Amino acid sequence: MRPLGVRLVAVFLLWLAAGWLLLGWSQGLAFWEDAKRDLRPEALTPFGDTTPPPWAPIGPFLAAAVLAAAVLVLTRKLGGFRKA
Amino acid sequence: MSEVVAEAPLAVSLATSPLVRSRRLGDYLPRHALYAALLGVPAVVLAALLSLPFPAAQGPGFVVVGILAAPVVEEASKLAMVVWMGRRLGVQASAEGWLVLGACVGFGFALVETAGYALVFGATPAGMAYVGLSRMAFLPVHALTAGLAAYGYGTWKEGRGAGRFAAGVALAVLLHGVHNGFGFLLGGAV
Repeated sequence: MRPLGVRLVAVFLLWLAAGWLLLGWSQGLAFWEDAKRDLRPEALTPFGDTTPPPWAPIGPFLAAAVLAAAVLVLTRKLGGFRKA
Repeated sequence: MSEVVAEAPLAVSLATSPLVRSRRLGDYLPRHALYAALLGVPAVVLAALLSLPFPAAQGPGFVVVGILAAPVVEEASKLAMVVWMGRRLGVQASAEGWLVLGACVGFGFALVETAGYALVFGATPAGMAYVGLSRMAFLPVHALTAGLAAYGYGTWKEGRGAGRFAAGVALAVLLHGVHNGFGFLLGGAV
């Protein structure tokens, strides 16, 4: 894959990592609790329970870490940011 | 050309690279990109039709649909639009050009899907705005996966074997499923 494609994929991965980090951070804020009141119950209760599972805070940060690692591997293995 | 692309900022590269050309749209990438993004709309419609056998489920069924069925259906729908561009619109592109076009289809798909989720899950205008804005963080999922599948399609069109095509599609479905799986770690509240 040539540099443009590598950079594009890296930008997507970083965007997603930032998104997951933002989500993890926002869950600790009051506006997450406020927002729940403005959502239909089915948006929050696929497991039939309004209480988030105990592992819920881990998910976003795990996702962000995996994606950030993917960017590192991608750029190192494919040389995406080196000058041609 | 690759030296020029490597040293130019990403946005400039995207706007000026002669990566794609077609009889109807010339070799101007932004025009192809906009067309591809618009194809996100029929892709969502196709995905909705293909999803009919998988009604919304609760509990474990929700996980099965979200991690297995939804990625397969949605990636197939986006890829169908990419293939349509290649076969019906006569778009000629490098594998990398197909990656860009696939990503554009994915972005269009994600925007339409997000608007749908906002309308369905928001109980109030504030809730709709919350769903719409918060899902902006995850728009690249569809762009990334559609781009990878389209890259596989591009390598196949270049005669580099069907294996790469299959690998691109498989990787796209896998990444999509993993992403959805992370969502379930939150109890589905994404």
